[in-house]
Order: sequence, then C-alpha cells, then structure tokens
Amino acid sequence: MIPAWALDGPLAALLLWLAWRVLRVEDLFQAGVLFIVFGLLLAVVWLRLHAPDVALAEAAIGAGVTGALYINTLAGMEAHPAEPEPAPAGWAAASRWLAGLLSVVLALLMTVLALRLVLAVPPPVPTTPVAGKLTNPVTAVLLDLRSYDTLLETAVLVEALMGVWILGRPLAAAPHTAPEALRGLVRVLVPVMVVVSGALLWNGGGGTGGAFQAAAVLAAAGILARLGGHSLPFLHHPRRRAALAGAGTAFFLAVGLVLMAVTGSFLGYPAGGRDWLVLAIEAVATLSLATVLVVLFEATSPRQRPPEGDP
Amino acid sequence: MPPAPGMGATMAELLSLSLLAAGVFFFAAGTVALLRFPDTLTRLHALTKADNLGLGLIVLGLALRTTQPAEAGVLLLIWLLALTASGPVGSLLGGVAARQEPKDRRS
Repeated sequence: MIPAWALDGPLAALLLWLAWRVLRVEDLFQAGVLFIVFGLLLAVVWLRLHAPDVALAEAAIGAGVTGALYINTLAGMEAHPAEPEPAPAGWAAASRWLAGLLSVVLALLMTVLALRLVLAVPPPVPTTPVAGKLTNPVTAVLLDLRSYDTLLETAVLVEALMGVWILGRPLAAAPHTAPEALRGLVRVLVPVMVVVSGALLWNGGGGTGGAFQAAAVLAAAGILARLGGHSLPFLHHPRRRAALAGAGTAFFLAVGLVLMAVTGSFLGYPAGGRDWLVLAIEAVATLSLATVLVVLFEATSPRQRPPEGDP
Repeated sequence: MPPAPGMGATMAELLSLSLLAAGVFFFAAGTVALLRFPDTLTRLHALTKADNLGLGLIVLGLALRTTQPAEAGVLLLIWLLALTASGPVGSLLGGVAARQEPKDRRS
C-alpha cells in the first residue's frame, strides 16, 4: 500500500508552488489560468480531507465561476485600457487614506473575532453524523450550522453584486451569434447541468450538496447559455433581476423571523417541519445565488459597451 | 477491491490494471505532446485524442474494479460528458487558433 503522504506531500507542495506562481507571474492571462488550476487542485485537497461539499464549492465557484470572471475582466481591460488618473489631492486624498485605515481596522477586528471564535468553540462534534463515512471537521461544522452558512453565503453574494452595480457597469444587451460547435454544446450540456443542479439541491438534505453547490452548477449553465448566444429573460429586466438576486436572502430572513415568532429562536425549526422548510429555503437560495453569479459574469463581460441606460 | 474469490476476479484485476496502465500511458503521451508540439492545432490534435482515449481507458479500468453496476454507470457517464465537452471545445479552440496563427500552420 502506498502511504498517504506520497500523494498528499507532492499535492501540498504543488499547491504552494502554484499559489506563488499566481502571485509572481508577469503575464496576467497566465496568472488567471494558474489561478483556475490552483482552484482545481485545492478541490482535490479538500477531497483528500474528506470534505466533498467544500471540494464541490471550490471547484465550481473557486475555479470555475471566479476563473470566468477573472478572464472576463482581463479581456475587458484589454478592450478598454484604464486612463491614468491624476493623483488625488486635498479631501480626495484624505478620504482614500481614511478608507484604507478603516479597511485595516476592520480586517484586524475580524481577525480578532475569528480567533476568539476558534479558541472559544470546542472541537465540533457533528450532531448529524453521516453514517459510516469519515467526516471532516469543516463538513461537520457546515452541517451543524448549515442554515447560517447558507444565509451568509446569499448575503455575501448580494453584497458583491451591489458593489458591481455601484461601479455602474451596464449589461450586454443583445444576444450574439455563437459558433455552431458552441451552440451544440449548449444544447447538450445545459439540460444536463440543470438536472445535476437539482440533484445537488435535493441531495443537500442528507449528503453532499446543498444550495451553494447547486447554484454554482446552475450559474455555470446560465453562463454557458449566455456564451452560446441565448438571452435569459430575467437578465435584462432591472427590477426582476434585482428581485431574483435578493429573493434568497429575503426569503431566508423572513422564514427565520417567522420561526422566531413561533418557536422563540431564529431559524429554530419546529420538529417534523424542518426538512421541507430547509428544502424550500435552499431552492429559493439556489435560484437567487445562481442569478447573482450570472449577473456578476455579465457585468464583467467585455462584450458590453460602456455607459448607456441600463444600470 | 473486494477479496478475489477465484480465477475470474484475478482475470478482471489483471485486465483492469492493464487498462489503467494504458490510460496513464495515453495521458502521459498527451502531456508530452502538449509540451513538445510546435503550435496550437497540433497540440489540440494530440490532446483531444490522448485525453479522450486515456480517460476512457482509466474509466474502463476503474469500472472493472467496482462491484456495483451503478458506480460503473456513473463512471461511464463521466467519460461520456468529457467526450461531449472536449469535441466542441477542441473545435472552438481550433477555430480561434486557425484565425490567429495561420502562418504557423502552413510553415
């Protein structure tokens, strides 16, 4: 039998080396590709740590969607190179320093809070052990605090989207014509991906999967459809788009508050009703998260032209 | 791998091992070609074939090692998915390459 370190040792070394290369490589496109490879290897590492949920999320979001956003941004930078700004003076310069200082203070504060949390909480014991399977502590925590995990994920992504909207990048308007090979691929893969997403959502109740993983796959299907020249009905309607993006967090909070009124604790599920409530929340969260990811992709897409109408 | 009850299991294991070895060989050959071939089109040519065949052999080798038909089915589905994706992706990359480096291709 080959010892575990014979695989894990080189894997860890390769991961560190890739991280170093991503930071140091001159060519930004190469950095982007290396970053995607880094994400895929990291997913393998999570698998080796018996945390398939985290591995799925890392592969889909960390390597897939983030990689697409990165390449998009690069192409946009080439299409519209930034003009050098004059150095800020007076209040503008002061406000930049202030913003920087605030960020540092906030980062320190969060580090202290995170450390306190890590030191205060005893090592997690999963209340819902997965029968007969090795479970990583991270997976155990994710299972235990599943609701908060998903709630915060939806909130974080909505916030990221708000950031992009504040930057005021308009979305690509008209569908374009894609090469026939790509359109064929879209016809075959998109239905498969939608089914996989549904399976991940359904599976989340008892095993590997959940809203975030399902949303990542659904978003990938949406992005692929967009690349294949399809228009998605919700994408170009600002109100519908915003409503769909926010629906996950809003529904989550609403259910949590109603449960608080009934059972006395936020997201304290009543006995028996838990499974269906969780599935309902996660179904809405999946649609919402997928919308946010597709809109993020569209907003960074180099195909669109600056600035006109559509916020 | 379940304990081999008899001759059949041993044969299956031998077959599986040789399929896996052949798969690894094709992956290695594809990687060498990717590193050594001069331009995008020849690299793609080597890569799509080596990867599809390499993955297929590894999937077959692994499918022989599982006792559950469902697991073997999932493995075959993964191969089918990879085949479905790699054809069009190869064609797309080839299209871009043909537009960008036509001189390299003819020389």
